[in-house]
Amino acid sequence: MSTGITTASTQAAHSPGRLYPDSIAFLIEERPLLWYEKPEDYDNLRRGVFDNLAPRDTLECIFSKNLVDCFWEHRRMRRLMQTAINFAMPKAAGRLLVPGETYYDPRQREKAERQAECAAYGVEEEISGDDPSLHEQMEKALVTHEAIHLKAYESQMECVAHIRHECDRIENRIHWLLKNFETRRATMAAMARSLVEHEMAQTVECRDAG
Amino acid sequence: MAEPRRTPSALRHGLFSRHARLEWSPQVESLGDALLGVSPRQPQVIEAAREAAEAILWLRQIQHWRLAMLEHAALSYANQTDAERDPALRLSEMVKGAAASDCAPLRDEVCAAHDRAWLVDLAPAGDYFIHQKVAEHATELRRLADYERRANSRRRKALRRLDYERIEAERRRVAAAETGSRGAPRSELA
Repeated sequence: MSTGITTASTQAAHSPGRLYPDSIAFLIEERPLLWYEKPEDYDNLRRGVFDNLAPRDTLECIFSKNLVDCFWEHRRMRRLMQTAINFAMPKAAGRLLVPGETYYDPRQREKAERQAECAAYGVEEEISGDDPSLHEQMEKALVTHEAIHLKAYESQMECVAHIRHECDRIENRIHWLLKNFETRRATMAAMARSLVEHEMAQTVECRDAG
Repeated sequence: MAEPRRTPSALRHGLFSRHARLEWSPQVESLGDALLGVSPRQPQVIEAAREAAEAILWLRQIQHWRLAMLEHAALSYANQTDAERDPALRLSEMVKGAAASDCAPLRDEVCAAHDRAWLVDLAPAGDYFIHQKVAEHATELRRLADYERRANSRRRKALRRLDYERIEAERRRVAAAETGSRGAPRSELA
């Protein structure tokens, strides 16, 4: 059995900066990242969690790693939800500025969508030309930013509902892990206390007998 | 060790292969040893530690599947050209274990190969393609969530059993020590 301890100094830059047994390094050092996510962000989060929780044994190390993964996944889900709404905004703007389900000017709507998309990237001036700007169109049609946001949210309801469900699931897991952490520490403290009391009782017994 | 109940169902859904158990063996042993720590090496405790290790690895495996599903969603949409797909696949492997500094050059390569001018950064692009697939994969993701819940429950039970076996082993050890210490004075008196 390997009982060696890996220190932060002997590890690569991505180590959590805490002590953990070599035998579970393959679990702790693994990053559940997608290809476009930044390893340094994950490492910072992991270091922060490990520093705060200061795991004392193997199981606490595993729970801490689970917590890091949950926090990361929760962050990813919130980002996904934001992206879903952000990318639906141009279409929503097009539908509000050029209303109609069957009878509408498709070219006009497409132009409005493109303008909204470019406005989101801050390059609207490059395509507007002589056409009225998105802002002017919104003022004319009495469409607010909130209305566009709401329309985008409405169009992404299915996706958002699913992401919310995932977020709830992750939050439940975070609560369970933190509660488990507290319970284990409380149990360990109680065991340590009873051990000390037992030792003290034995010392007194020995002294009395002597 | 008896074959766990989860295997037939996981096999049916294509989430688990019988080879995986063989691949896990060294990891199960290593993790089991780490979980044992300074506990007494009694067969019941070792068995409980091994079971807990397997439950932990099983949970990790499910998390891998979910990640692979999301990754597939992003890659199948985002990368139409080999010039972009190959470095993305290599980066995908690298971000999971290599040092952050080693990932940077490959990341730059993927950014350079990214041919959609309107998606400047990789992160919103990847998220965009995943979000388009989320509703499509909802059933699979929900199924994985169910698997994860069961794996969590299994891990909880395994850890509880490990705690129980540890306490029992300690109790047996103390009882044996007390019997020994009671027996000693008698022998001295005799």
